[in-house]
Amino acid sequence: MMTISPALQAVIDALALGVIPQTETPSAPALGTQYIVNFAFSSWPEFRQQSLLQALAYVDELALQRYGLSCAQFNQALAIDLVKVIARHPGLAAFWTPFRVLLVLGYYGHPLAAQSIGMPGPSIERGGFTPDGEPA
Amino acid sequence: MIHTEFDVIVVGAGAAGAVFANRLVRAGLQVLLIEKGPHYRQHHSDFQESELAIPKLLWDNNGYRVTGSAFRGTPNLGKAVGGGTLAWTGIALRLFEHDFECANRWGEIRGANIDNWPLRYQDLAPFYTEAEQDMGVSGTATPWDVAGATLPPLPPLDYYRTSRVYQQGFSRLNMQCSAGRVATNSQQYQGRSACLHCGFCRSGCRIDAKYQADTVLISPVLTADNFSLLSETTVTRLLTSADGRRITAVEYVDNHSRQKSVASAKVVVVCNNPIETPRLLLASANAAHPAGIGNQYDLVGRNFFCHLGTIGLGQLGRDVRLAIGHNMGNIMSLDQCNNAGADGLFKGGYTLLSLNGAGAGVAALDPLVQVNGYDLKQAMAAYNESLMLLSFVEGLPVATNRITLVPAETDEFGVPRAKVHYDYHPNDLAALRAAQRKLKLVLKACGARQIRVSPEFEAHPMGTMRMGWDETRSVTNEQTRVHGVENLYIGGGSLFVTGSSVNPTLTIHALALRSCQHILQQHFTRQGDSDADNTAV
Repeated sequence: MMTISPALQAVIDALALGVIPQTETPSAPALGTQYIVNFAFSSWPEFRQQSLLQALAYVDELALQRYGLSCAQFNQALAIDLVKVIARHPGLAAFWTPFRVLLVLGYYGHPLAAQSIGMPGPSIERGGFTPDGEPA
Repeated sequence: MIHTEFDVIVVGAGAAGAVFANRLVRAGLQVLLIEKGPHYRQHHSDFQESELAIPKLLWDNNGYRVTGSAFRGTPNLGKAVGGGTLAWTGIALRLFEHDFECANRWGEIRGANIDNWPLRYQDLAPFYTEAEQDMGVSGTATPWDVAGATLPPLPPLDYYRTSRVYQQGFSRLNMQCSAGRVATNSQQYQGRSACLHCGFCRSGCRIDAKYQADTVLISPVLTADNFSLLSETTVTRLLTSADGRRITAVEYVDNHSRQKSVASAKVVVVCNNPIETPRLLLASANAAHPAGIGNQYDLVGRNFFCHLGTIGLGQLGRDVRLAIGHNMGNIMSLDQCNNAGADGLFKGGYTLLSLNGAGAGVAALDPLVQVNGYDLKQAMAAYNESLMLLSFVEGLPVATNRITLVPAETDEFGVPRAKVHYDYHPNDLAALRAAQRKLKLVLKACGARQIRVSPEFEAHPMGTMRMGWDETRSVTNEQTRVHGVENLYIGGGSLFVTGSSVNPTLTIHALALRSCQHILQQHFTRQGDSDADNTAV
């Protein structure tokens, strides 16, 4: 059974912060939504787990080379910059696309984040909405 | 080890399997339906109005080995009793007449494996009508209908604020548009509620305003004496007679207890998704079928293809309540669905379908896929002031795009892992570029700014068990029976010869209805012969 080490968890946390940073609304790590990656990881076959761990280790090494710091030492500004680098890195596309899917779904599916952008939330018990978008 | 005999065993309780179960049970046959996923019996409490509730309804593609650049495991297949109809968005469009004869219209396309369907639109038309009645499709006459086509049973859903904006945009571009054909109730239908526009179709409809096959087709037969349903049960192998001409039994495993069982039937219908159906047939190789059942011409698993999805997002700067409403096709334009290649660019076509509802994930994942950090949060904050428009682009079947097995690797049930090889054909990418240009054009004509269009994602997997007259060029015949095996039928998108650009579920349903009719005719003919024999004795 493979596990995500604390050092590699810090990479996940940094990337989550870089994709969805703290503004007037919470960051992804503030809502704990990066743990959706851990949840998915636990259900994957070993070859998928292995490739995620390798990619995370590569990202941490890249961070060390570029900034002289490992991801565990990153602040928000560095995390945002790192995400810009990773998102354009052709060798990391197979890792980055599904990884970002999990982060973004986890964040905007969270009730607080969804509410912050005007998602309706549960409405069936109240009768839903009219076609014009007003509460029924 | 349990051994029971049925008239029919149906493997997979999704969009096709539910049709087989319903019609065959109602006709009095003894039916066993086996589904790998769970059975959500209480939709009101089992489903949640949350985007986080979507994944539990979806098939997990992470178990596949993948080669080629086009398959990214985009989750849009189902895993439950009801299958993909629990998480689908309800688009219920018929294929066009021209979709059934692409080889005649296009001729050979280098690198693609185009063929005609072994049936025409007219052969399927009565089953389309029956499928629309089953589902409760809402809609109106459209400019693209085949002459004389019956109208769906329900009037169209009212236009949303966003759709009224699209109407103006399409008009400015001299494009035709219409209310979508959607299997979501515009008014109460057969005891199911009208849509309440909550925005969460993809999370499973709590009030069954959307067609969900478990409610509409499985629930009515659930207590019938001649019906057995096994959910959370995985079929691992099909067994054949020594000469390979008949399926003699189905092996299956309880997902939790790991109890292995075997059941036999006069007829077996495999209705898994287009990856899992060939996987099961290939994994069932034996002395009579050394390359896999039905694979004597190395065609099982080949000609895999998908629609290429692409989504445009643009900001209007005023509240249009994008987050409210059924999720897809409140308004649509199908003007671009029939490009015969006269312009020299591509063959095939693409749809344009409006998106609505709680699709924050969709927006953030697709059109905003390259946007991160503060820019992402800013764009997402404008969600309700935005328009989101989707295009499904016709992908072409290619023989080398295929499902195979990785014999050295097995899953938890001992079934060899599947490998998906998928690369886009150049025609797919040319059609995609045209669709992306059109998305931008329409959004701009609607007055949207800051328009972003997503790269492609693969949607609606199809092919792998293609129908045809010629067993050297197809796996299944015009009745969806596997060539060379007398009692093995297939249901689902794996049967598709070509895929059009319209969503496939209505056609999957109609094909299953047509196969049911054939299976019943065969059954009662056999029974009549048997009765006659007994009388003679």
